[in-house]
Amino acid sequence: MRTALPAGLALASAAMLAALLAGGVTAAAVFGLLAAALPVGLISLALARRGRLRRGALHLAALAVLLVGSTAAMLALRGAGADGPRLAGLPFSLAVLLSGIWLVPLLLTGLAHGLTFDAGAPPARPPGDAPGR
Amino acid sequence: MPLLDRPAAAVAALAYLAVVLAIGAWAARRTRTSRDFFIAGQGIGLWVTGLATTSAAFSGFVFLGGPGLTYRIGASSFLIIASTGFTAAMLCWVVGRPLREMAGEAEIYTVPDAVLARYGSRTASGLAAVAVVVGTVGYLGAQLLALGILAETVFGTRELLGSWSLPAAMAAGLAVVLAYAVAGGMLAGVWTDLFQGALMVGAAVAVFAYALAAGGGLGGISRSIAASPEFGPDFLDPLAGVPPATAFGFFFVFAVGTLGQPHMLHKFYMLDDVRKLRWLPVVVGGSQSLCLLIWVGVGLAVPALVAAGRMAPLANPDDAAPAFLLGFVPAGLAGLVFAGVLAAIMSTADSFVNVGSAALVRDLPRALGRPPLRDELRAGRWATVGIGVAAALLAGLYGDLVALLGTFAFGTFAAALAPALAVGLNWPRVTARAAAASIATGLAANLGLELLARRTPLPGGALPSAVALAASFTVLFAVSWLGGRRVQSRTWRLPCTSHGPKRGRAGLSQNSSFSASSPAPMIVDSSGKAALP
Repeated sequence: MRTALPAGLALASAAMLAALLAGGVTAAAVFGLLAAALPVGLISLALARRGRLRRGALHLAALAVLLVGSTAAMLALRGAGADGPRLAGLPFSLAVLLSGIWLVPLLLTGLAHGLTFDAGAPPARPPGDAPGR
Repeated sequence: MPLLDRPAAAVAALAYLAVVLAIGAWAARRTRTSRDFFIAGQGIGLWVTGLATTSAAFSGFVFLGGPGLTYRIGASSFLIIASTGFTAAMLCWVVGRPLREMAGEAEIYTVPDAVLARYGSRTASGLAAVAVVVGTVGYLGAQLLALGILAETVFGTRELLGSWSLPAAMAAGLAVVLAYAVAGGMLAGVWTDLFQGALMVGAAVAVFAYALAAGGGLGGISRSIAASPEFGPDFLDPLAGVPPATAFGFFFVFAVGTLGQPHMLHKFYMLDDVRKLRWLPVVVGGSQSLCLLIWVGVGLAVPALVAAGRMAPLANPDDAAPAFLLGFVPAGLAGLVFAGVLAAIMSTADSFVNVGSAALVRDLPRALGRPPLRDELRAGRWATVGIGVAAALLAGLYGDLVALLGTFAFGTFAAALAPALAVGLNWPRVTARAAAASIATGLAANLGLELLARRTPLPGGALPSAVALAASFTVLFAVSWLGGRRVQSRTWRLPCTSHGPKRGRAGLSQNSSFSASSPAPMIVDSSGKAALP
């Protein structure tokens, strides 16, 4: 994890930059999916620093599924128009945005932060890490 | 009809102003030190910190700019706010906890202070201070622009003063902001934020209910918009109102970029006990989500009402919220809501002048190797005035929607500061050189691309701030891995501060949680708190 997480974030950042500079719908879709995943990567990095990654893994996996899945759904439903599926009176893509990226993660992350919170200091050396390398 | 022609509304708005000024006067008497001025004496609890964070984050951008942007680009604008679902917790996990722990050990008032403490680099800290000043002027400009539009509606000055109406309204708003910001600093800010945050939440929920009722519920609103030739079904598609790259850029900048917003990060320094971070995301995320109902509700209701012929099409999208409030909300509630919007603008403006003045008075002189100012408190107050005037000039010259000026400012903070803080506070391999390169890249790219995009749109409609933020992250990782020697930063060895700061130690230089390569040793003040050089 010591190298894998930063490496993943670095690759994602570079890919996002390349996608933005390339332009086009496919590149925008790649950018959108990576943008949805990046926050989960940053939270993972922070939890790993404190040695709490394993404890928060389930919450983070759920968050990743919600964010990336909702983004993918919006991409799939793009341009569905008035004939597309509806949820609670709204077009499905808008309902997915409001529920899958906003409301459900609000409950999930609020509870996850409270439940995985450690009152103490981070470990001097997170598991699997070696300072100074 | 101006709001002041409705006595109940006018009374509500004036009562609000009286309360805010009273809080400012009370806080001014309690502001005795620069510590009080900049971080409210580090004695603020969970609810005050949570609501103050919401108040500082939400502003004219949300209450006026949001519905206006939705009117122009449709549901794509919701990608700006949807990330509120997780940003509060992400803030606490990624930057809030380390920053609060640093503030418990060292005399850290500002984001550039934290950059200096983490990286031991005056260059990186100075660049962070420049980014803070640039972003502050932009964001404060957005607040003043929103304040001017609001004041025009309240006082009906557009008919009276013509083209001088907006500048005059902005000048009046600036005078009120400066009055209590100069007097009370952050201590005034957080207590007005508490009052304002509560008011904003109540006002947003009430307006959302009226918006749904006026539009015929979500289903009715949706049908009216979809059937309208002016808006059409694509208006409700999150990826159709703007190019997908722009829409996802909104999401990226406003989700990840939250980690670099100094006016929000500042609040973590003020928390009196690190353990209160535990449920802070619930307070911040919950209150922010309630406030954002006004963006969603009014943003969807106004086009639906225009589509149904119950409201005239808007000449200026930023008039969406004022027009709805004046036409579809009872006068007393409209007055309260205007006061709530005013509250949002004022609290954010106050936070920004405070953050910006700290960067000018403390951080930039230090980065240039100048000795600390003799009277930091007084200088901070003068800097506050200077930043306010610069922001008013920018707002007058910008000539576009409140939300777009706000997006530029938010993007400045995001691109310049988020990578160095979010990654640097959690990964020891990030070097001072990498941080400085990342901050410089983010700042220059955001400014340069913003200017470029005004002439020629970027490929695929990419948002300048998103490109700058991605570039800033990329440079941070690349320089950390490829450039220079590895610096053994020990950020993760931050001591626990839940039992208060460690007193009587020989400063952080020997037991430092921060960079071991600090160019100047940290010193310890009379209270045993480490002070930055």
